[in-house]
Amino acid sequence: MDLANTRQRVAVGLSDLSSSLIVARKELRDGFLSLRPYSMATVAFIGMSFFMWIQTEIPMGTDPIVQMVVGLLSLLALFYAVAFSMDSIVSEKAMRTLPLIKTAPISSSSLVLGKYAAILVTWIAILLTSLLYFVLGGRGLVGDVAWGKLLLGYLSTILVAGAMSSVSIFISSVTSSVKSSAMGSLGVLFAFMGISVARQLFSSFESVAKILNFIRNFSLIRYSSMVTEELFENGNELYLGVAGLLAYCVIFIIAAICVVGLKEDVA
Amino acid sequence: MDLAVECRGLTKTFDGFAAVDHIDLKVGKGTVFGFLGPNGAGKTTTIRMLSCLIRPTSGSALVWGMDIVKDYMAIKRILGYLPESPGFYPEMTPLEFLRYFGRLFRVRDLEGAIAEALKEVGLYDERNLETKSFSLGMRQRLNIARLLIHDPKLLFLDEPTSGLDPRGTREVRELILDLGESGKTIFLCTHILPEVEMVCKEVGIINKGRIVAVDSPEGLREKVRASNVIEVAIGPGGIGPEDLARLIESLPWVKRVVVKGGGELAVEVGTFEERRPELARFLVQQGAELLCMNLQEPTLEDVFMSYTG
Repeated sequence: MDLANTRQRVAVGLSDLSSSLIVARKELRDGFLSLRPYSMATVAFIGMSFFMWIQTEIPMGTDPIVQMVVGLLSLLALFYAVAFSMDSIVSEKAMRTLPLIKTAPISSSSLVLGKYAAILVTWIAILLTSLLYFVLGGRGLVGDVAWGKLLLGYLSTILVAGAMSSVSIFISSVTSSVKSSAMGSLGVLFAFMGISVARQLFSSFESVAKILNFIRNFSLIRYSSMVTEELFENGNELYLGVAGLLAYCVIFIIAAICVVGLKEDVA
Repeated sequence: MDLAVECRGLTKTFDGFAAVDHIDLKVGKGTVFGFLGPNGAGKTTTIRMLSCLIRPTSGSALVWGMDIVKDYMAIKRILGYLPESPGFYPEMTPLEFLRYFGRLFRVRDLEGAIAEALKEVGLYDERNLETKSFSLGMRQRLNIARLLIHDPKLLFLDEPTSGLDPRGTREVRELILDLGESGKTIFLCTHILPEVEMVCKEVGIINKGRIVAVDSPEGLREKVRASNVIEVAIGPGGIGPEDLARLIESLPWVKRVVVKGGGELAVEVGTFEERRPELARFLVQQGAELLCMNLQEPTLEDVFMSYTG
């Protein structure tokens, strides 16, 4: 009897999880019908063209170029994540479609994971277009490409996009308007960035610097830098950076799932 | 009786305010149930709890025999919920909108079900237009199509004709009537009384979060008819209405007489007993020129006002 129950629960769980694919498919369709992914890909393309131009003017070698590209993409990943995630849940509230979805046989976890997956898949698509530079240009542009480091760098930007997206999705789930969600997400991103700047500005004030250093320990930007920089310097903070970004992904996605499931703002 | 909905002490409080206060309610399968109440009475909160959108603070409810807290996923498969202002994706066409929800409900032969639902609500010809160009009535009908594609056993409709023009209202009512006739259980939340009279077999009235009456529309009228009101019309040939009113008031079973003007009087009788023959004889004896005499039927509006103050 217990085995039958367990089987039934597993079947229901798998069926529910497949609902997240339905949500992801719809989100991808909506996403690629808008201008956002194309404008992001254009920014990535222009940025990479700039680095390639630098390379031809002042030959730097492969590693610095790859490192600069990964650095640019990880910065872009942060803004991409905010732009694509800030309205993910709140737009359903604004369009009054959330009650329709919540009365369909789909759990809040499948809904959130479906949206999250679509955001990451779109980012991967943008990354793939930028990868064309190395695939097509290859040796002619940057010499021998260190493919291993390049791909690891690209993977790290997916992690950065995933961590920032999870924060933005969470903010989107707790806010009630697209505007407040956008302001909240951008506010958090700039706060993360501001910590590093403030730390340098107030380095002479010991007590302030201590507080800022403590806060910086939890900054997503710090973990992002750890990953993208240490990847090329073989530093021992790489794993801490990966763990920090993964923790961001897991904690904020679970928080968003809980908010979508429990918050009763379905009017 | 097989029950579609059974509430036991169902309660929902918001910041200490009981929006729904210990309601007990039973709705049979196949019934078109009208859920009446003034604005803020707790109708929408009740319907949202039963649709598994919000959790009750206390008490319990079974929908099709399943608990709304424990078995919410199974309940969602058999119910259709139409909110008061249903949403839509403006960039989607009706086909895309229904495909999305049809997939979530794992509808077999989805394309067939969508075509049938769109024909049913009269949107088949507009199936490829973006919904942002749709009128409120068309959006409402699209959402009714959304309810139909997975063939739910139970429909929760929250003010389905709210904001619609007379034509849209009529179309939606006809759709509800058709659905009721097809054997679906419908839980219709409204404060529009003609809607209830037209489509519902059973009515529940909620006021200040509490159920104050549940019965058939006819049964409710009977309950309100605590005092019969007999409408009398007299001609100018006999005794005048004021004098006649004084005489009628002297009868022991008469509670009150109101002179309405134009030779019309309303005689309120304090019991359910039939007093029309007795009153007619009395009026003729007093020399009144009796033109007509009717028993005033309470409307559902009278019932509603009587229960909700």
